[in-house]
Amino acid sequence: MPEKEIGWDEKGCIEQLQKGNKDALAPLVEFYRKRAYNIALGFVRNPEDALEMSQLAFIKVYRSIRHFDGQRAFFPWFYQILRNTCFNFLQKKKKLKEESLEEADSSGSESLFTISRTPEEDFRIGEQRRLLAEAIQQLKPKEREILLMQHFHQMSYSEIAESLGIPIGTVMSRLYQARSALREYLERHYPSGLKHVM
Amino acid sequence: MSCDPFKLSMMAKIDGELGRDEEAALQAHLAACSPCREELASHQRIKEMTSFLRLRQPEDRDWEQYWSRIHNRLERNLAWIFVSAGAVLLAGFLTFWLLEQFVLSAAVPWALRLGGTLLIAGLLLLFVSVWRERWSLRKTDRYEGIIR
Repeated sequence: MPEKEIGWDEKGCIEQLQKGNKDALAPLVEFYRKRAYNIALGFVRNPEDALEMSQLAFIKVYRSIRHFDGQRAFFPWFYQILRNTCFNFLQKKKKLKEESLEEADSSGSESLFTISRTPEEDFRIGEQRRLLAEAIQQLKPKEREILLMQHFHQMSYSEIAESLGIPIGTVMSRLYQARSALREYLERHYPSGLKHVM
Repeated sequence: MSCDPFKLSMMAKIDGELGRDEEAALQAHLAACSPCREELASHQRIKEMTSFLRLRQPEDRDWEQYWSRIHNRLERNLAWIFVSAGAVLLAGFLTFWLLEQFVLSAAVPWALRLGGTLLIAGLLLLFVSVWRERWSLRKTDRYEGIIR
């Protein structure tokens, strides 16, 4: 979870929003927009669509904020809205593809990551990162989601559990499955084992 | 002792979520189990590796326009509500007027009256059908469990 900025009052913003003050949405958007974009990207895999979905999720927050229980944490609630928005989008996209008899899922082949290396790092490191990115994209959707939540969105176990509506034990076992799958993938492509990676 | 219970503790250890008691139990197990030590080390290496990956980011100008796009859409939603309400009112008035002046008037030829009746009935049916479809989608659209 990112550090809260000085002067940032999430609870106050939510209370104002619940009273119908539209301007209170701006600081909430400012604080969560990058996380929202990154989460959406994990689902839709395309920067333009991820921007669109994250913006749509904020609009849905504004529309349904009066149903939000102010005693609970905001972010897991927001995560569910964003996730549902992305699923809905993907479902419609899939339906459109089926209707147009298009078989290839172009979004599925797009990379989630930018692979870069500094001039000091050798080519091998760039290759390892590319392989790891590939391995993450090969994970099952549930495993990839939980791995992204923990590694890239810096969510705690309790936040993940609340966002997905699962017990913390399930969070840990899914993470174990995801990391084990990554490990197997990397070991298959690096026969000498992970000891030589990085 | 079976290694299985410690697999999940390894995850919590890597992510800094392990309690003091579990930490002590895990350390005791690791001291006696080299496969688990190796497994933990490889999971830790994977976590380190992922910290070097960066998710693709949009252009700077997309961030600059981010809030204004949300704001504009919220404003437009209000405009659409007004437009829709106005359209429904006008359509209702027009239907009533057509019925009165056209369909129910004996002075108008029967073919024209029949055509007008069918047109109005067709439009009403279309409206009801589209509305019902949207309503049922809204009520049944459960996203949970959708796997891509």
